[in-house]
Amino acid sequence: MAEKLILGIETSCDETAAAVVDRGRQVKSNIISSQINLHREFGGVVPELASRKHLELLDHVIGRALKKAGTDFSQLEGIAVTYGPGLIGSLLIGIVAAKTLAWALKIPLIGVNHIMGHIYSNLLEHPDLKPPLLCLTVSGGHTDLLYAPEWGQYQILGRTRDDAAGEAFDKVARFLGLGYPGGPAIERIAESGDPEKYSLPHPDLGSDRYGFSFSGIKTAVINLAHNLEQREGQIPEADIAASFQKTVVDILLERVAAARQDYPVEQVLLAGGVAANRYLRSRLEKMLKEEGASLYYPSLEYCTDNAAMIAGAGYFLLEQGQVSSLDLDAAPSLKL
Amino acid sequence: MFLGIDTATSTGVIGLYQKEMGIRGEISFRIKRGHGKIFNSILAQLFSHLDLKPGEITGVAVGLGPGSFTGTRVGITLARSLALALDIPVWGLSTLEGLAWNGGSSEEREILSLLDARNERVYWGLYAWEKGRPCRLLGDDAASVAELGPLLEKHSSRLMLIGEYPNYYRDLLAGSFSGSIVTPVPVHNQLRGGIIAYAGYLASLNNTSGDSLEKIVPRYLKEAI
Repeated sequence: MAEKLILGIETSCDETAAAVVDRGRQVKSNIISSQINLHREFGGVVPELASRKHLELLDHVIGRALKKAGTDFSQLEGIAVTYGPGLIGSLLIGIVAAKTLAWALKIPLIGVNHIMGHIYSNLLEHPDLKPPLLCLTVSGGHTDLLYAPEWGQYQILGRTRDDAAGEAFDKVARFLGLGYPGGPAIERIAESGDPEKYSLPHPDLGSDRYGFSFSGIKTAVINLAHNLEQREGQIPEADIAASFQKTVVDILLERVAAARQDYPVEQVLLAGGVAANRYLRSRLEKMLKEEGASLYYPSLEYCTDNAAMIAGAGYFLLEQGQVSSLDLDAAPSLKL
Repeated sequence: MFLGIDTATSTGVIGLYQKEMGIRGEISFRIKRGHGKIFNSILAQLFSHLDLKPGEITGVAVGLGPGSFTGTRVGITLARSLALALDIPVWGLSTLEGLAWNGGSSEEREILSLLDARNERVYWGLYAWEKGRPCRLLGDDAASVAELGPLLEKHSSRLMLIGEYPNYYRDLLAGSFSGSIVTPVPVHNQLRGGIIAYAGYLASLNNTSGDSLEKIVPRYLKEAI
């Protein structure tokens, strides 16, 4: 079968990424240039710095993606690019580059929702996956629980009202002085802590069975740490990190369990940067296995922001004829 | 055919220059923000109406600022992406020099290009008209207007001030600069795409392979944070 190559571009936050994917599933190359070291000293992503770096790196990253895939511009069927949600200045770099390439090469431009990209990241390694399914997307910017009866049809069941789960990890890690990014830092130190040591509050969202809220837990952690420091003269970081991580995972599991009562699907997808958290994976996998359902999650390189997932999702949109015009704009608060 | 673009100021410009025909086409538009949304389709429209193809571009000249950070990046991203897709050279040009081209009628005066940098500060460059083009004497830099006057006095007693809010800055500068300052007719205070393209053509005469991409980055002149 002839190849149908899509070039994916992703610059929504602090990863400059480009990838070439064949027919939405076979990854020919997946180049990611992370800016983590650039932002580390600030404890989080500095938007202006991120935009500056994307501009410097993007054409090199695109060139590397083509080279690694053993192809060139003339073989591409389309250019897929993340147009939201994300940081507006960062998104614009990828969008303007994609629009220019699509125009110069006379091939379709496909704007892709970043969250949809995360969902499709599961298809890169599980090509036979088919709806209906539930998908929990957890990252530094998103906490979304959605139900997909078909590909292309998404019903958002719940999302966060304040901080995203990954954002709460980053903030707690920064407060405890564990470094950035917070997810891996907390997971690491939590291994030597007692997750049952401290009881942290679960948010009361009333009748909203699938919604999320993480800012209260973050505040509770900070108050707890201050109290312990005053009382005991030091902060037991490992125990706090373990208790915090357990509480966040408890909440995520509760929501998935509630959703499965109403949407009894057998397949649950985990996506987004926090999907890399092994504690979350193993607890969710165990819970679903006991209930006769299966969990799918991408390998590490497709959990964090990447362009292969954007090219993958872009291929499906192109097949459905959903192409974008050259007026495509950044949509920082784009929803599914 | 040379393409010129600049999106560093509120006036976004695109122009095409061809040696035999002069300016082949140009579009400029003044908007507060949002260059990134419309710039590509304006470029496509210009080519479509002139029945030109992207492959006919032989080189790109792009304004590097100083100016709006986000705005400047739009034009530069576009230029670098075109260079990548079409394998053509790209030349970077100071946005202040782009403005100084508008002072060509004034060989008796040095040209001061000014852009508003907020908080009573300006981006500035001092140019002299020599051999048919502006040549930089001082700048590009960022300064308060009060600092700028004494600096300029060492190099000029007669200025033509071109750029944003020219009359406002002429009056402000008169407090620290003792020479004479004139401003041009208002239509010369904005960039012209065709001129940027022409500057690209001139650059190609001495430097056929274009600037290295490491040089095609914005002149921020201000820290990121």
